[in-house]
Amino acid sequence: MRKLFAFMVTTLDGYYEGQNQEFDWPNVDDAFLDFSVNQLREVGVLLFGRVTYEGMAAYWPSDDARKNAPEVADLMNSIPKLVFSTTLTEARWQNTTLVTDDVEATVSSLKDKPGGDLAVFGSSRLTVGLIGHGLVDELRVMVNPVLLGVGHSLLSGLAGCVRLELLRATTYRSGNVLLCYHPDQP
Amino acid sequence: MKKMIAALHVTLDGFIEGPKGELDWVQNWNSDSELASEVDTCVLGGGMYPGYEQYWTSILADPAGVLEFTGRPPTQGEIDYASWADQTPHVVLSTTLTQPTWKTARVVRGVEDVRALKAGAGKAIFVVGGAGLVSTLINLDLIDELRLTVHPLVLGRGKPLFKDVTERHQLQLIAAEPKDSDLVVLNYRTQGGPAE
Repeated sequence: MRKLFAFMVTTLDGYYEGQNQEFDWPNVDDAFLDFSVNQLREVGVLLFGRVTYEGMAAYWPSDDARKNAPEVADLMNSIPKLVFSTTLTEARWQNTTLVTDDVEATVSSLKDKPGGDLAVFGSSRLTVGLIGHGLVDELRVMVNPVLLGVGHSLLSGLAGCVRLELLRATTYRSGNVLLCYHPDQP
Repeated sequence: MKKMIAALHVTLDGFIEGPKGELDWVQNWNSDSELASEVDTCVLGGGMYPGYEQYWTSILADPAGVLEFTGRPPTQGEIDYASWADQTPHVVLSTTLTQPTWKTARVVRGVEDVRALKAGAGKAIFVVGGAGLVSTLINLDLIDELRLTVHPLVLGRGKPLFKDVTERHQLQLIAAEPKDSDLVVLNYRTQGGPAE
């Protein structure tokens, strides 16, 4: 049985994006890129909700991405990906499969297969659903040293309180703090 | 000039209360015992003060008793905090509260009184909360340091600590320290605060 981790980048006030989808605040330095590469090397399949998928599919194959973060771009493009959506009709980013079936059944059977970790990047609504089904083994939150005041909360829509066990806290020179937790099963 | 430290308890998703005002997820209201030695005055908003006074004075009255608010007896850290608070001046910002009964507390009517307090000499000021007061003081660049005790849970919805912060504030991380019971204390300097 392989592990599923959810990775989110947030502000100190718990937002993954601003009120108008602002995402210009994350600290991206060499340490963050190193972290991203190491994290991706553990991943067998990347899972996305539609909104995050569309943003990433537009960015990672671009010349900009290949120039600014070549190693991350290589991994993001080459790792097998699933996007869960009932509205998309195709998924054109390389190595991506569109899944319109039941999320819980698809992810449960994927977890039973051998291979690298399953990872959800961003995709707040997908993460909320997976936590609700007890399918998330680790929640990784990269807290950036900034307050926005308003924005979209990292796990809004959760059915109720979910208790966590702290696994580790890592501090970066940029002021980012990576907090890793194991969610208690609902 | 006194330093102002806002030290509060939050969930991982940045809430200080559940959607119905739930606070039962805070297992120990005094997880940051180092703070008491750094400060000589507390500042609170009028909304939270009555509950704060009730909580800490009931511990002073009966340190072994079961607290109505939490359904358990106080921890040793909470008993220590209650006796410290009983000796430390508390300034309550409120336009409606009358004079509180706790001997260490006094009410002020405007944020200018808080600004004047900060202009004085001495140890730091502990901004206890609540969310409205913290946001007001951040918006006025009066907070020098944020110390958030992040509790190990997510609520999905609730009352955001920084909901009334009106613009983006870049912070500088001072330290992130894991504590007992899966807590993490995140400590930041605000840009309004003094550089070191």
